[in-house]
Amino acid sequence: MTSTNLKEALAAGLAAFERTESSQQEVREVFVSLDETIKEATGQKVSLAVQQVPELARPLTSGGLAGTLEYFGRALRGENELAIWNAWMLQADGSEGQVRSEELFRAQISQHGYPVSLKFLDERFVCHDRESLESTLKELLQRPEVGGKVRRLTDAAT
Amino acid sequence: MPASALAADLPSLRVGWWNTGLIAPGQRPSTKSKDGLKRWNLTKEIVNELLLQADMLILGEIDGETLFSLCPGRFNSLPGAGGIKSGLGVIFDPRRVEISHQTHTRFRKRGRELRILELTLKHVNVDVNIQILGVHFPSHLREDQEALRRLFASDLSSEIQQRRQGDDDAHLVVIGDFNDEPFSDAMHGQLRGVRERRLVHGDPGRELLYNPFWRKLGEHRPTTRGAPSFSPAGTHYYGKNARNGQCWYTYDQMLVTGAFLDEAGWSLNEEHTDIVCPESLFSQTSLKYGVDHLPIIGRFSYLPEKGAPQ
Repeated sequence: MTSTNLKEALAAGLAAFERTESSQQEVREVFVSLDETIKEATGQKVSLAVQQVPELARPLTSGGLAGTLEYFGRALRGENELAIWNAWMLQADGSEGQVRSEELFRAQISQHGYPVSLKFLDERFVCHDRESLESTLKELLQRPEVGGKVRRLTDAAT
Repeated sequence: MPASALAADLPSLRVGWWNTGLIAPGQRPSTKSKDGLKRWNLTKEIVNELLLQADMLILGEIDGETLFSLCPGRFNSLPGAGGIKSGLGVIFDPRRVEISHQTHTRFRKRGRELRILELTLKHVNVDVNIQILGVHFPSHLREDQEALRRLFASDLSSEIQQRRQGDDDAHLVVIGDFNDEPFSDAMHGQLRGVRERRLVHGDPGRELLYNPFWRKLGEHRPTTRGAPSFSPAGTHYYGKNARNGQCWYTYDQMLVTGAFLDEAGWSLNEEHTDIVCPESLFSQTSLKYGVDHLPIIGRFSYLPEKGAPQ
C-alpha cells in the first residue's frame, strides 16, 4: 500500500462525508420549509411535530385475521424486528390547554440524508433527491385527506 | 386417466400484464375524435380477450376511472393509490382469486419514478399466499435514464430481498414493463434475473430470480414463406429513432423466485407463460393507434406432493 493510495482513500472519505452533510442539511431545509409553510397558511395555528413510532421492519403481507396469524407465526420464530419511523404530526393548541394532533405522514431518513421514505395511508414514496422529496410533499399536501386534517385542526385551534 | 386430463384438473393461476399506453398519468383518454374512439374500443377488446386468458390482469398507464370503465361486470378492479396519477391498477376474477393486501410504492429521482403495485393473493382453492409485484420502470425517452433504471432495479431487488427474509419458500412474482431487455445490466446485474433455472433452484443465497422471458427475445414465429404483414419480435414497438434499425424490444417480462421451480406446490407452467398476440387484435393498425406494447401472461399450476391423493 503506497502513501498515494492512502491519500486517495482519505480524500474519498472526506468527499463522502461532505456529500452526506450536504444531503442531511438539504433534507432538514425541506422539512423546516414544510413547517413554515403550514404555519403561514394557517395563521400560525397549526405546526409540525415529530413522534417516534416503532413498526415491523418487514411489513405483514396480509390484512385482517390472516395478518394476525402471520404476526404471531413470525413472533414465534423471533422474526418481528422493529424499525423506528418518525410520525410527522400536525398539531394545534386546542381549548383548555389541550394539544390536538393528527398524523400527516411517517418518514424515515437515511443516515446519508437520502433516500427519504414517506408513508401516507397505503402508499410509500422513496425519494432519492431534493426534487423528488419536494414534489412528493407537494403532492401529499394536495390530497383531500390532508386538507381535512389541516381544516379540523385550524377550526379547533384557540 | 391421461396425464393431460389430470393437469387440466390441477388448480392454476394466470397472471397477466399489459402496458395499455392509454394515458400519460394524470390525463384521461379522449374518445371525442374518431381515432380516439377506435383506440378506446380496441383497448376494451384487448382487455376482454386478456380476461378470458388471465385470472388477474395488472394494467399500466391507467387511472382509476379508466380502469373501472374497462372492468367487465363479473370482475373486480382495484385502482392504484393516489387517485388519477397512480398509473397502475388490477382487474381480477373474485371467483378464482382472493386479494388480501395491497400497497403502492414509488421510488423517485430526478422527476422520474419506479412504480410498484404489490398484491398478496391466494387461489380460492389453495391456501398459499403469493406475492405479486406489478412494476413500471421509467422509459428510454431521456438519454440519461440508464443509470436511473440501474438504481431503481437495485431498489426493487432490495424490496424483494426484504420480503424473502426468513422465508426460503417465498412465492414471489415480479411482472411488468421494465423498459429494459432481460440482458441489460439493470435486469441481469442489479435485479439478478437469470436465464438458467438450475442457478435459481440451487441458489443458496436466495438472491436470484428466474426470468422466463429470456426465451422470448426475437421473432415470435419461425420464418414462413411470404413475410407476414405483422411480425412482432419482442413486446414493445418503438419505431422513432430506432437504434441500429431495431424497432422491437422485450421490455415486458415476468420473474419468479426459486419456489416456483419446485416439483410440488405452486409451480411455473412455462409452456403457457408467453407474450399474447392474437392477430385479430394486434397488427400494424393497432400500432398506428398507439398500442405499442404486447401483453404477457404467466401461468402457475399447483402440483401435489408426489404420492399425495389428488
